[in-house]
Amino acid sequence: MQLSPRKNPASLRTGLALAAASLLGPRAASATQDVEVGSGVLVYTEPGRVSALEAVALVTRNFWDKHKLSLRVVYDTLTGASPNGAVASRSPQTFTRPSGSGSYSVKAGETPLDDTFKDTRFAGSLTYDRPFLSAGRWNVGVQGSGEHDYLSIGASTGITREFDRKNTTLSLGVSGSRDEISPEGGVPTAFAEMGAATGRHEDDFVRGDDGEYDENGGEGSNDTKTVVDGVIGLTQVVSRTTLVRFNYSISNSSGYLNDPYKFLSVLYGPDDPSAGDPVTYLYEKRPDTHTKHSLYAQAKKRIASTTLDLSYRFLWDDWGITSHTAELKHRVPIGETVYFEPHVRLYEQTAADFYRTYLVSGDALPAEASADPRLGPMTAITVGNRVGGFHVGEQEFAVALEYYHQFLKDGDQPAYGSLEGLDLSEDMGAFMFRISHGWEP
Amino acid sequence: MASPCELLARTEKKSTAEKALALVSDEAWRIETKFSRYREDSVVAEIHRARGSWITLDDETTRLLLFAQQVWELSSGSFDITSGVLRRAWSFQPGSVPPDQESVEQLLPLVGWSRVDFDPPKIRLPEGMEIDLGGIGKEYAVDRAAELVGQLEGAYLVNFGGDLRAVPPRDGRQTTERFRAHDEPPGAGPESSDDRSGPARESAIGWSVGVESPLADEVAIAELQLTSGALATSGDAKRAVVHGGVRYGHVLDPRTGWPVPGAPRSVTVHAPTCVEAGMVATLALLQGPDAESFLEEQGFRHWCVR
Repeated sequence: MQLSPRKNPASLRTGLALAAASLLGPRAASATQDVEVGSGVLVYTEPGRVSALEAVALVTRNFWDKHKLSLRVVYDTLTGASPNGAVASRSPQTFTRPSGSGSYSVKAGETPLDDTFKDTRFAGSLTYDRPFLSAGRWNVGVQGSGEHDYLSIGASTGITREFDRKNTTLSLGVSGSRDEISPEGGVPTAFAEMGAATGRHEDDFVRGDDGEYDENGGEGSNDTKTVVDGVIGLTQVVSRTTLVRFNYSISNSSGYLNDPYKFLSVLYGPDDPSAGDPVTYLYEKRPDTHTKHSLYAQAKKRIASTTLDLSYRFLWDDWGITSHTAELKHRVPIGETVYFEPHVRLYEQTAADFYRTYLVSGDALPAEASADPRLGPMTAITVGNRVGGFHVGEQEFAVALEYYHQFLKDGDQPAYGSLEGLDLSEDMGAFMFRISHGWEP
Repeated sequence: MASPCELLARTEKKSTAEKALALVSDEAWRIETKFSRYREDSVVAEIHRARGSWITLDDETTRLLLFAQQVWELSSGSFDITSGVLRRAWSFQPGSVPPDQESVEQLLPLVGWSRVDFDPPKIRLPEGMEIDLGGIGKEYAVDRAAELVGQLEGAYLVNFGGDLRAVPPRDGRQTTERFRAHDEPPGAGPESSDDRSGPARESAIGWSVGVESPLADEVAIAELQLTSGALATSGDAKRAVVHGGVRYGHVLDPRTGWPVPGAPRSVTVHAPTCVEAGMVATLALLQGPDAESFLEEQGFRHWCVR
């Protein structure tokens, strides 16, 4: 090829810029061979009740140009006792274990706790995140988790796009999961009586086409639940020191939504000589669909060298629960990389429409009912501090200690008869200690 | 690179800075190894061995040669990567004398990009000719290193023997968020907080850079705050022959085989990338007495020493 130089000095600057862009621009995929590794351990304990240990490991591989593949693996183990839904009583109470074999007793006046909780869970997710169109990213992932009585598989995808010189970020995401619940002793029939009479252990009854269980004690040994979630979010840089974020999310669950290990106490009525004493215990029944909405707002502001992070979430659902969560965090650097981050979180929720502290013998059965304290009215506070930014070589560590206190409120139903003077909504406290670690070799 | 290579890093984490250093060092060695004309295993040596026949080049080498060709066109042939053979006539060792016109003229037929068959990604170099990427390689290495560290958190200054480029933080609101593997307790109920971005962060301040005088080390003729872009210097301060009261700089005009008369001793240029800065500085030098007006006309910030 014979070329002859041409003289065109005016365009030299532009020509050179173009030449440099084609030399450097379509940059031969970056030679970064980034691997980021993170892990964390959480110890959770409700004194006298549940203890949990959770370990998480996360590996992210960056490749090509800003493509990321992340693998996250979680292992946790839970042991201890958790409220079974029944109310305290003046006399000792005996409950059949979920497996159907054996029983446990609860002393007079104490909140009934099922002490058989012992579970080990493995969960994993794989996410691929990549640039999408210009100024956008797209991710897709699969996740699964399993415990002895629960199996969940799901998938998710989302996109984000930046606008206005990256000052605005819009994100959209959807995810779905299919869960299979196979409780110890089989799926209990809704409102069936606890124990032999409930029909647990009669494994091979088949659910009818209408999706309902055979009322005569029939049951399937497992059942399923489908969850679909969607979220839309907006992050806006307001100034050099302020960032705000909003999101709306919706979640729809359908299928088997009961807790197979929760009961309701059926009590002698107010006019009975044994008013307030338990007659029997029934398995709970919740609606078979649940739609939740949540609105979330967050503001982060840099003040001097510290960062204030304030957030609020409003959640409402078609079960009648509304909740408010407000959280304040303040990150204060001490030293070059080490920081303190104290935080406080306040939570309040109203009860689900079908929440009942107990049922009364002789009254008509409601369409649905649950005495699960998590569906009852409550306020909660979490206080804690996180200290992070410790470096050991390329490793970075953070530790956090939190205390969570749940104040259960009495439901609408009064304490009567022998219930009077008993604590039907016992508070619960929990400590959490967490250590997390990040590494970018 | 035949000169000290340096990386200045301003990062939140020491580990990020260490990673950046490793990336830059690896990239500098990679480019040095691949394009040095002094190494038997370099691409340049391979092209030389294949003289007279076609050889297919890898993508990166093809892009570098295309770039060299574009600059050759833009400079009307005054920048030419085949001009290295002129070194056979010229020595810039202390005490050397300029060659006679005849020995220079004997070499001129071996100089000229137009004599090279280049049909990307293939090239055929005529017998006796050489290519030398020395005039681009270091600046290219600076830009490549800058692109690599640009993907990390932090602000950087890549400096390979005085050719340098500043890398601002990826964006003004770079997060300081740490990598978190774990943020929510199990059983914390419906409370959870979305927390994936960090606080806003102050934008980077510049790097203090001194432009040194070629006449004396450690004497700065200008001090500037460099936040982005590159600086490159071309000059002959330490490589020149003085003979008969005439100073012969080491930048030779490939069209004549002789140093350009009346050239500045040194030209430093600021441009978006180091390859642009380096090319403009070299081309300015080749303008001889018109170096300053050339730089003014092209609109590059510059510092000339005569």
